[in-house]
Amino acid sequence: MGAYLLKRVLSLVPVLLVVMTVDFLIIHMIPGDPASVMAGPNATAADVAQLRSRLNLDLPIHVQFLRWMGRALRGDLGDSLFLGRTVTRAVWERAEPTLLLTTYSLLVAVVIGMPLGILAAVRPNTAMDRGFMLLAVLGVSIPTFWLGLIFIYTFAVNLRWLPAAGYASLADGFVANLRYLLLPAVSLGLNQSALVARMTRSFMLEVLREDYIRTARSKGLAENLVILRHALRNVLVPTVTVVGLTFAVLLGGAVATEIVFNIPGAGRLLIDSVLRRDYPVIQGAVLYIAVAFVVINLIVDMLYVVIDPRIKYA
Amino acid sequence: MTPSAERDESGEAKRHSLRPMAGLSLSRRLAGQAAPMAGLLVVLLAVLCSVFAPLLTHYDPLKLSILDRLRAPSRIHLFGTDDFGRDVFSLVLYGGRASLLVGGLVMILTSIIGVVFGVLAGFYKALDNLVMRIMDGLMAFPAIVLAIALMAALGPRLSNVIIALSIVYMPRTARLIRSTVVVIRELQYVEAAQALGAQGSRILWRHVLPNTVAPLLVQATFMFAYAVLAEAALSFLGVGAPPYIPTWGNIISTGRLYIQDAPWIIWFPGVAIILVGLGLNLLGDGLRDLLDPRLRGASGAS
Repeated sequence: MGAYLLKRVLSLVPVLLVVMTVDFLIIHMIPGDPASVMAGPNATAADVAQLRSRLNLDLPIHVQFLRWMGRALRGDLGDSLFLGRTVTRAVWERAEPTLLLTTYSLLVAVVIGMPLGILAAVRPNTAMDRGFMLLAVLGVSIPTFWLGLIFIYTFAVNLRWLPAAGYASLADGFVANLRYLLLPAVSLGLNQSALVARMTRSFMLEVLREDYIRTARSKGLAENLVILRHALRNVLVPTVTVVGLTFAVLLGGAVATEIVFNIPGAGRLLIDSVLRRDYPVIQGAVLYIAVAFVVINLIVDMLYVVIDPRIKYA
Repeated sequence: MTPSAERDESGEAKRHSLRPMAGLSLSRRLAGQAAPMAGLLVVLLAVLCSVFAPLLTHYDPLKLSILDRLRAPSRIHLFGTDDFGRDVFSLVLYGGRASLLVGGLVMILTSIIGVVFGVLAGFYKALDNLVMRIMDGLMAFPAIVLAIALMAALGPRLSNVIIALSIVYMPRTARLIRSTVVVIRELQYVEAAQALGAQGSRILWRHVLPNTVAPLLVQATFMFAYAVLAEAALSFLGVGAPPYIPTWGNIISTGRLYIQDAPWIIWFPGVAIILVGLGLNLLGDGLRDLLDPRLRGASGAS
């Protein structure tokens, strides 16, 4: 386990190297002169020159790259051009809403998706199975931001059950926090519950063909017990990896959901920064989100080893 | 159940097993299935509606008519009007042009570039590690986040949306093609061809590439669906197509401000996105079931 862990962590080095290189290159993909684009149309030549030297854009590109990497590895991603604080601080201030939104959505996706997938697999090719799977295909085709708007229209504007937009920190209490995040989390998670349902169904179908299931059935065990005791446990293992993938999609989807529901999260910071041309913050937010994704996948892989006793990594 | 080995976003890459495309009989077999055919029809209908938009509506989608703003759907304006008095029916038809163009071109570009990188990595062992580590790196970003970052650099133009989404989604196709090529490369008939003295390029063109067509076809269908959804999200967020080009995402983006008084502005472009996404997903699922005998076992009577 220790050796596997080390190997797995080392395998992240090239991935993170590529991630950081791509992130570094974002500024250099700006057509024309990045400094004058960043300074905006009303900037004087002096402003542009000052910004250029402040961001080291006057240095040779390999020097820029090494300096940027060196700083980024120490958690220093420079300063925001507009917010009067470091990029790292700006991102961390916005981390809570995004992490909570993503976590709640994940719960929605699993709680809705897994039972549907299992029910569909237990009775394959029945009307129920086909119905659920059609529902799942429909689910992945609905844009989350559109569903969010429909939720606002229905549950906030018309029924007035929940606030249409805004955010209350967890520090203001769990209930207040949930009131603001319930609609966003359901609108974001429903889409992924479709994916979870489809994957759970196919894992379940695979497990149900295993010998030990036939053994359990042939010794006369009630079908419910076969499913609950033998099949379900084995389905949980591969489903964990799906949860990791889902988390990544949710992390991306959170951007649009935060815009729809006016939630002050990292995604909203990213979009605001794009509209303000605050490139250091764009780079920083993108890097933090990518690193979060990589770390989550690492954790999922570790979890996989822990919950499945059959897998032993030398 | 192998540990983590081959996961991709849909987790289904592994299932695209190799099977040479069974020629024309594919279309015949597809024709016998209701759901994929319905999907194909919906997509074709959407394409036709946007291509022949001028024949279906006499309203100019960009013509402002302040007196007619925020009118509810009626016989004069089938889908109502938006805050500038533009006809939403026309906007949705013409918006389909941009949205479907992006989807179609991203599908083609990801397929071409994906096959190039996938074959480079799968066929030439020396390049495998380098190419695949770059693909892993690109896939370590949530797709939409990388697309937003690329759009921030390139600027809000429709052509840049196509470029950004192609870069974002290409690695998935490359990874799939690589895994297909790696398996084919080791098959006996390829070894036999080598033993007979066939050159690398001949083996590549005659034996390896034809076998990538089937999985590529399935993947391309899903890419189209991803791209349509991603384009809508980018435009909705204001970092995709410029606001003066009607796309389904842009219409929803302006409509969200009037959700209380004129919900129809967001209803119809949303339904258009869902129908096209649904159609493509049904078609993709159908193609996969036909081309992959292993999976057919899973959904068929087992």
